[in-house]
Amino acid sequence: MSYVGKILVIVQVVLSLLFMTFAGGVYAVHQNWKKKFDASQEQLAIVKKNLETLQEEALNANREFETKLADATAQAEKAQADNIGLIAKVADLTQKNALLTTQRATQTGLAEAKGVEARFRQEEAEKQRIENGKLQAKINELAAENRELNDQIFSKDVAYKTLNSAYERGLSQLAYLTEVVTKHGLETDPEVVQRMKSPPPPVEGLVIHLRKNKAGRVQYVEISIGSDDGLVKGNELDVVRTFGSEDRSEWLGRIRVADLGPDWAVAEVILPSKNGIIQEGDNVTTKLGI
Amino acid sequence: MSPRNSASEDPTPDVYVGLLFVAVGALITGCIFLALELSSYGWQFN
Repeated sequence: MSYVGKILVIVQVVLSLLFMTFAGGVYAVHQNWKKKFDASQEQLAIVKKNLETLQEEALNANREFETKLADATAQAEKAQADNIGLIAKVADLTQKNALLTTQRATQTGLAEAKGVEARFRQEEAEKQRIENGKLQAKINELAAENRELNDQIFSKDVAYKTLNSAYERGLSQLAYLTEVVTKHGLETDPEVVQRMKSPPPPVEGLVIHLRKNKAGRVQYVEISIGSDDGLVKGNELDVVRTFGSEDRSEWLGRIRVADLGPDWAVAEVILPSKNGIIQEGDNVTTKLGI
Repeated sequence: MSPRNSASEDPTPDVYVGLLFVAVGALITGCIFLALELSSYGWQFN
């Protein structure tokens, strides 16, 4: 073998070894771009699918958002209208608040005055409580006294009932005796009886009417004075007749009052004069007192 | 290479013949690697 052939054999061996080395290196460390491409395609399909889903969701969301936007717009308009109403209400309430503030100030003043009054009243109540305690003690004393008085009243009531029954008996007895006295023509009025005991008042009057008996003598005379002048039944008067200058008078008899009124009386002649006859116009008087 | 002396006498293999076998083995191994590489792409070239 020539020298050139040997060199070519060695070169061929070296090149073959380099070829094997490079082919092995490529096979060992290469990246499979086809698999990566397939994987990328699959991922791309997934991404596209997700994108379509998201686009659909976005479309739905957009529609829903538009609906909500329309609702929100309507609500906003309504809220704006309400806001205008509320602003008016706020103004009204502000005015009312001012009024109420004024009233509250007034009421606060009144409440403070009431508080002062309440303190005074409390102090007064404490004083009244003390006074009440004293009064209660006094009430107890008075209650004891009241019980004693009640006992006395009971005793007096028993005595009163006893006296009342005696009085009732006395009244019935008095009525019976009054009936008996009246039946016998006697006076029952104590005042009249007292007057009958006392001398008649000094009065004067006139004979205004006469009544004679069957014998032609004067039996009753009516005179111009009565009970208003102080006469009572049983009073005795003298009948006199005055002449001219009244220096001379004539006694005509004595009469006793049998019945009388306020300004008249009827009297019975109990002692006629032997020298004269009683006539209408003669004077009657109690001043002689014979 | 032309015969040097006669046609009946076989040349004696030497180290260079061995190196040629080594080169053949290396070429076959490199071809297998390349075939495996192409098979991973499905024997498509574009």
